[in-house]
Amino acid sequence: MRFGFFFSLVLHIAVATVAFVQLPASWRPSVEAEPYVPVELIRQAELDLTTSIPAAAPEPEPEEIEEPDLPEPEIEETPAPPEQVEPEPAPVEPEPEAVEEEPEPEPEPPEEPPVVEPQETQTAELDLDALSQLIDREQDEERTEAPREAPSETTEVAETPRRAVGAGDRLTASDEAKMRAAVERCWNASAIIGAPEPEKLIVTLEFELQPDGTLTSPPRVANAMQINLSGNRFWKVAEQVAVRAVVACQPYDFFPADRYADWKEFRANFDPSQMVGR
Amino acid sequence: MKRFFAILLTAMAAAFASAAQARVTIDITQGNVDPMPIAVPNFIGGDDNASALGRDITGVLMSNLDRSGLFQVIDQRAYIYNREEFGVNTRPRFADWRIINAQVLVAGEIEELPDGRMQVSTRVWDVYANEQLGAVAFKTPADNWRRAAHKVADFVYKTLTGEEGYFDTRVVFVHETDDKQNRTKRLMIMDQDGANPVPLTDGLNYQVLTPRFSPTQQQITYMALFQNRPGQVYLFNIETGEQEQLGTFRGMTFAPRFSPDGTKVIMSMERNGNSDVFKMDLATRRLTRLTDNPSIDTSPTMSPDGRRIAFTSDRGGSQQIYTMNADGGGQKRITFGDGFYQTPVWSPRGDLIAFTRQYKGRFYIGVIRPDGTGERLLTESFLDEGPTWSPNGRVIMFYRQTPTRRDGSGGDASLWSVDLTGRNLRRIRTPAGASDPAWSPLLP
Amino acid sequence: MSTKFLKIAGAVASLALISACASSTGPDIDTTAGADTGAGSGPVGAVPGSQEDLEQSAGHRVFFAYNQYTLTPQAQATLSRQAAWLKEYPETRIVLAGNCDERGTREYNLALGARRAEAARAYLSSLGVDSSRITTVSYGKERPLDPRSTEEAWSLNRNATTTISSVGS
Repeated sequence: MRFGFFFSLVLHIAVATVAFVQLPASWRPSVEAEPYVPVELIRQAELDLTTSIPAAAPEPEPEEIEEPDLPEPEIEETPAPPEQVEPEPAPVEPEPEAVEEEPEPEPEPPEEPPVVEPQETQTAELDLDALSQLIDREQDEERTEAPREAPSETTEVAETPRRAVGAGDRLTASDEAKMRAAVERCWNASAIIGAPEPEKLIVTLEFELQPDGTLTSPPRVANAMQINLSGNRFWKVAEQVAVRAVVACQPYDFFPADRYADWKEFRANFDPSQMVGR
Repeated sequence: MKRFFAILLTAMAAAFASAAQARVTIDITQGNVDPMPIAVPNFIGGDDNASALGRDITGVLMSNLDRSGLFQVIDQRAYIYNREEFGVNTRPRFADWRIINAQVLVAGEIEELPDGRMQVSTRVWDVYANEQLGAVAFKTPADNWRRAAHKVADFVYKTLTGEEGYFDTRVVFVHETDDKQNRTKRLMIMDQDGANPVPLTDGLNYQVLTPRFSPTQQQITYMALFQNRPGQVYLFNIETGEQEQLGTFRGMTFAPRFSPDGTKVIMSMERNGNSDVFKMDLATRRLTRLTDNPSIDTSPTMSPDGRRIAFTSDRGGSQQIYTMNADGGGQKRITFGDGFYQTPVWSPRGDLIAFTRQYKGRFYIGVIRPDGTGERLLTESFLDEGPTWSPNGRVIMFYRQTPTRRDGSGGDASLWSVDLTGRNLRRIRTPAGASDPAWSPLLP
Repeated sequence: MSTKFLKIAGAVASLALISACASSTGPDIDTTAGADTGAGSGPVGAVPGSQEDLEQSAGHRVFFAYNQYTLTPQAQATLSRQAAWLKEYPETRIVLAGNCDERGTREYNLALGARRAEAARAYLSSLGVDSSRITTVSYGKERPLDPRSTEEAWSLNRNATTTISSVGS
C-alpha cells in the first residue's frame, strides 16, 4: 500500500516533469515550422525574351553540320539497342500477331468498327468486303481495283492476307506487322493511358520513307486541326508522343528493297483505347 | 464564314481520301508503357556555390521524375556532351542525346541574383523533334531550393504529360509508434517525397485518425479518438497551429472530408448507435443532415464540382458505395460486386472514384467511374486501405498493413503509392509506421 | 514570446494532468489496464462493486460475429448478469466500448463499434438499467485486445466492453 503510494507519487512527478519539459515543444505544432517560402514564377514568355534561345545563333548551321556528322553513328546506335535486344523475337512475334489479327477483322466487323474506330480509314477497309459483294462498283472503283492489282504484283504471298489488310497497300501482311511492331516498340503510351478519356486521344500520322528506311521529313499530323481545336492538352501530348515514336524508331530498314514503291508512304493511327486497363 | 469552312473541310476530306489510298495504313494500338527515357544533366551554375545548388536541385528533380513511373532518368554517367558549351541559353546538340536514347532533355541553370535570391531557369527539349517543348524560370531564396526543384519537376511533368504535376505538394498522415494494442497515433506532415517530416500533434491523450487536407487552404480536418468519450472531428490550421473541435455533439463524429471549395466539411455523426452523413458549413457552423437511414452511412466524399456525394452504406445488407446529390437527394447504389466496397474518394479530376474493396479475406484499392462502370482493382494485400488522390488525379496513395507475426508483434502500417493505371507501386519512406495519408493540393 | 506562452500552457497542462489523475472521476488509464489484464485471473475477494468484482461475478465483455452487431444468447446472458450487478450498485456509472477486428476499414469500423456498444446499452436498458448511467463509445479497430492477425484474435477483438467510470457521486 505504502509502496504503491510512493510509486504513484514518483510516477506522477515524472509524468508532470515530462509534460512540463516536453509538452510546450510538441503540444502544438510550432507555428514557424511549416511556412512555405514562395517561389516566384517568371512567365514563360518573359523567360523566352530574357534568355532567348537564339542566343546560340549559330545554332541552325552547326546543327545541320552536326546532323550529317553524327547521324550515321547515331542512327546505327540509336535503334540498335531495342532491336538487338530481341532480334529473334522481333521478326517472330509480328508473324503470329499478323496471323491472329488478320482473321479477326473478318468475323468482327459488325462489332469493331463502331467501337474502336469510327475513323474513315477503318470503315473504308471494312466496308470494302461488304461493298465488293454488292455490285455497286462504280463508287469504289479505285478501292476495289487496288486489291486486284495487288495479287498480280506481289505474286506469291499476297492473296490471302491481302483482303483483310484492305485497299491501297501492297505490303505483305508480315511486312506490315513488322512495321507496326517497330513503331509500337517506340510508342511510349504510359503518359497517355492515364489521361482522362484516353480512348479519344487518337493521333493519325503520315510519313514517307527513303529507300534506306529513314524518314524523308518529320511526320505530318493528319488530324492536327482536330487536335488543336479540341484544346485538349492530353491530345497534344499524345500527338508529340506519336511523332516521337515514328522518328525514334527509324530506320525502318527491314523491307525488301526491290518493292520500295510499296512501302514508301505510310499512314499510322495511334489508338490507345486497347491499352486502357478495363 | 460557315460556307467557307464547309468548302475547306470538303477540300481537306478530298485530299485526305486520295492520300489515304496511296499509303499503307497501320494501326498502332499496343504501345509500350515503359517510362520515357529522359536526360537531366546537372543544372549549371556560375560558381561553386551555384553549381552545388544545381546538383542538389537536379537530384530532387530526377528523383521526382523517376518516382512518377512515367520517366526513366538516364544515368548521368552515360551523357556525352560538352559541358562548356552546354547551358540553358544554347541550343543543345540533339545528336549527343539521341545517342543515349534520350527522348527528352531537361537543361537548367542557376543564377545568383543581386538581391541574394537565385533564379532557376529550365528548358525542356524534344530530342527527336529538335525543338523546345517549354521553358520556365523561378526566383526564390537559395535555401528554398528543394521547393524550387519540385516546381521545376512539376513544370517538366506538365510539359510532357499534359497534366499538372503533383511534386510541390505535401502529405499529412498518421505517424504510428508503439505496439498494436497501445498504438500512439499522431499527426505528421511531410513533403510528397518523404522529405521534411514534422509532427503536428503529440499523441499523448488521444489518437489521431483519418486526417484530410483542405483543397483550398492549409487546413486539415481529422478525427480524435479519446479514452472513454466519443471521438470527435477537429479542424487544424497548419500555418498557425490552431486547432478546434468542429462542434460539440453527444454522439461520435467521424470520417470528415472537406468539400472541394473548402467551405464545408461532410462527415458522419453517430446518434444512438446509428451513423448518418451530415454537412457542416464552416462559416456558420450549421449542420445539415444528408442521409436518414437506420443503416450505417459513412465515408462521404464530394465530387469536384460539388454536386454529388459518394459514401459507404450497408443499407443493402453489405457495405457498398452509393452516390447522392449534394443536398442528400437522388441516392443510388453504384457498386454491386461481391464483398464490401468502402472509403470512396472522388478524384480531383472528377472522372473516377477510388475505393477500398474487401473480398474473400483480401483488401484491394480500386477505381470506378461515378456511374458505377469500369471498375478496376489496382492493388491487393492483406490490408490496403484509405486511398487519397494526388491533386492532378493521376496517382493514388494509400496505406498497407501487414499481418502481425505469430507472437503478436509487427502489424505495421506503411504508405504506398500507385499510378492510376495500376502500375508503379512504390513504398513511401516514413520515419515510423504510417497510415491514413492525405495529399495536399498544389502549394500556392 | 510564444515560447513563454507555450511553457505556461505546458505548466497548466501538467497541472491539469495531475488533477485529472488524482480525481476519482478520471481513472481512465488505470481501469482499462486492469480490464485488459484482469480477464481470467482471479485474486480472491475482489472489492465489491469494483471493476474486478464486475468481471468476476458478471463478465465485462460480450462478443460478436464478423461484421455483426446482434447479441448472441451468450452475450445476452452476460449482459443480464451485468444488469443484475449494476442494480446492486446503483451509483455506479459505466462506459460501454464497442470494438472491432482489423478486417474492415477504419471508418466503417468506428460506426460498427458504435452499433455494438449501442446494442449492449439497449439490452441493459431493457433490463431496467437507467440509460443515464451508461456512456457508449466506439474504438473501431483501434484498440485490439489481441494484436495477432488470427481468427482467434479477431473473434476476441469483436466485442463490447464494460468498464466502470465512477463508483458513486
